[in-house]
Amino acid sequence: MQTEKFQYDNRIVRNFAIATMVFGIVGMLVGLLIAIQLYEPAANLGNQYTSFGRIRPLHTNAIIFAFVGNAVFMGVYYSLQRLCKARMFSDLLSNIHFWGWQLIIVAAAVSLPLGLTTSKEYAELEWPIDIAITVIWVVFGWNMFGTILKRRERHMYVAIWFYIATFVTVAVLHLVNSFELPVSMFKSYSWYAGVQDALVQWWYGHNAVAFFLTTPFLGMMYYYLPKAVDRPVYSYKLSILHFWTLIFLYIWAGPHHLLYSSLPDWAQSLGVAFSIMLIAPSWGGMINGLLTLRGAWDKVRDEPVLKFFAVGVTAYGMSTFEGPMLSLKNVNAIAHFTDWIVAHVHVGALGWNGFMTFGILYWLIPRIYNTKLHSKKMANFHFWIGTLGILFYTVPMYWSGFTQGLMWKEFTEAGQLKYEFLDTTKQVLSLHVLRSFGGTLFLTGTIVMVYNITKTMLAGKLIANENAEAPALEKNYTPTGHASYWHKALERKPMTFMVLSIVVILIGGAVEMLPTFLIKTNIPTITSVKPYTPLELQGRDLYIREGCVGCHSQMIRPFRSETERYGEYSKAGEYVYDHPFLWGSKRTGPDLMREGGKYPNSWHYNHMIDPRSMSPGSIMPAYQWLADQTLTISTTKAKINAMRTLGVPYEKGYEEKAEEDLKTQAKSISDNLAIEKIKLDSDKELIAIIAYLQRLGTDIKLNKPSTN
Amino acid sequence: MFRNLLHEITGIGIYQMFSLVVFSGFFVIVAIWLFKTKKEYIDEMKNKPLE
Repeated sequence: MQTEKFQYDNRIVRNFAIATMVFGIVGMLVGLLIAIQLYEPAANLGNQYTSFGRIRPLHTNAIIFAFVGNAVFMGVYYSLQRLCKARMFSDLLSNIHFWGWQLIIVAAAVSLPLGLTTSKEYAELEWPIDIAITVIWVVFGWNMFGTILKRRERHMYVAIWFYIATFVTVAVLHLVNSFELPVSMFKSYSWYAGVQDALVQWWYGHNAVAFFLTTPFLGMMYYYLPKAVDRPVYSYKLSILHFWTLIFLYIWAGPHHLLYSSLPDWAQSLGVAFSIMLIAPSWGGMINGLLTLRGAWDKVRDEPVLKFFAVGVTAYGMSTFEGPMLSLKNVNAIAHFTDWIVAHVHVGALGWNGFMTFGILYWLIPRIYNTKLHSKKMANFHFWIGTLGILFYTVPMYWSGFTQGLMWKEFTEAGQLKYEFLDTTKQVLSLHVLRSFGGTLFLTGTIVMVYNITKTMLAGKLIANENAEAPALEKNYTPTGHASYWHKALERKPMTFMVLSIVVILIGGAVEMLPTFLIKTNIPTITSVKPYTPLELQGRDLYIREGCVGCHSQMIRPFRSETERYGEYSKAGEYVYDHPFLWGSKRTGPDLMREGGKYPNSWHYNHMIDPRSMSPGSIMPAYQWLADQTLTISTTKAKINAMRTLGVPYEKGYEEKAEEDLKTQAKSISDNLAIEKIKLDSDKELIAIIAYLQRLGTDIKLNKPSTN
Repeated sequence: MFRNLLHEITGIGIYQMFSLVVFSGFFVIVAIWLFKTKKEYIDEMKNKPLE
């Protein structure tokens, strides 16, 4: 058979590697800054653009999409070419993919601090950027499938299946969750409301973890781990089982993020059942990875790359065991809304994504630069300081999570809540200090790595185009003997394979979501629940802009400890006009579901200007700019129209009256403040926020909560 | 309240059973393929990254 000569594109791999390192440092630095803000509010720098609510999504987006995203592309572009024995389909597409992705990251880094956000976790970017993401993702898929189609290797190795599943599922998730109605160039409303929005969001959120942070890394594990240890994967059969069961099960588990919420019970139970089943494929994968190292543990002792892989895969095993445990309702009752979840995700992010990425960088860079790693010693130092960093990060966060969960639920013998919310905040402060120390250690390790890798790059020379040769594939291939089994046939047909992957993930998605969409017509309407007034709607958008949802939930679960503290538990029918939903996932501050009417307007004014004057010991940042900035009311008409399009029953023609109503309501709040000798003009943003906060949960208010 | 909500969706009880059956069926099919797959093919695939 004729041998063909061709070249692998290493330049694109190098570019993604540099982007991975740069954005890794940036993302971790922002993470450290917000970690410090949680015990030292002054670290907000007194500036709205660096305030916690706005830059917390900057941290998560930078780590997920910039650091991990670039690492995935680096890993895929290197391994895919080798596994297909072909150069990437098109250099032009590779470059559009690279630069397009970096532009999206820059757009995110600019827009999030400006407060341009949809508020949906890990999908905060506004609609123009959503469209750009779609385009670039298609470019990536096109380039990947082009490469697979022109491959010189008959069968697709398991790593490629994981890459294909990643591509198709992320595409589906992004499209469905980003369904939104633009109001202006940088503002949109989610198409879904309340319970449905929550379900779609956490179907997305959970599977973004699954298909952006997990499946591409599993694919890379199946390629780079055997490479680094120079022996094949422990069990290829197990990897097939791992792949199909994992992608099948993952998609169902989203509702475990919404236990005890207003989501229907059956959907919650479904989420729990599938989460528990997920342990099987996840651990199958972990065991497969670790057993690949069997008989080679002596190599692990001297090779930093393998150390990173060993700890990375172990962290994968730990967090995929912990995840299902957290989805048990009794565990979730304590863990949800606490720092426990923060610890859980960081075992995954620092241990699994971080360490796998570091291992791959240490393995790959010397190879494409045709040299040796600058310093093995430094890499070993990175490994140890990184591991210590993970421990110092997660142990205090677990401790803090248990403390919060238990203190929130504790009653005195007389049957009253034992602690105020602020007591728990103060109780865990020192643990937060320790956590930021852990983060500093991890970041230090990363900086050492960047130095080490840069030195390596400078010492070698990039083999931009690496020569390779392989026989061309026979055009008219007829499978014989063992090759005729249909899975093997499937592996020869990437397009059929892709379609089958989509079918597999859609089964779970459809069964999970369809009934909840039927609810739209079946939802028990609560007649007292009315649409927001124009001023409240504007206030709600400011609440979204400032990222209040990052620390405050609006979801009172049906526990006595919550109804005593916050008031009547939340009903599905209360959220029918909430585009987007604002349930939140973390209680750094108290729940605000029934905040309305709890305090006078003057309390809110003082609390926003200086939180500690009203709540001594509070770690909430001050929002003095809200009192200085004038509310933009020119958008009111467009917002009312958009909401009506989405099904909110504003009367016909109300958009013309809305601005007038807004001004009247604003003036009444301003006048009310004046009685308490507070001078605040009625056109300020703070007035709108107060209007919104005072409205919260007042549509139905049965129990009067005792305290915050 | 949710129970009422659920009752309004016709045949909702079938969903949980359906999902379990679908998954079990799926799992059995994958397991059967694996059982039938020949060793030489598995060995060939296994060594792809090392070629």
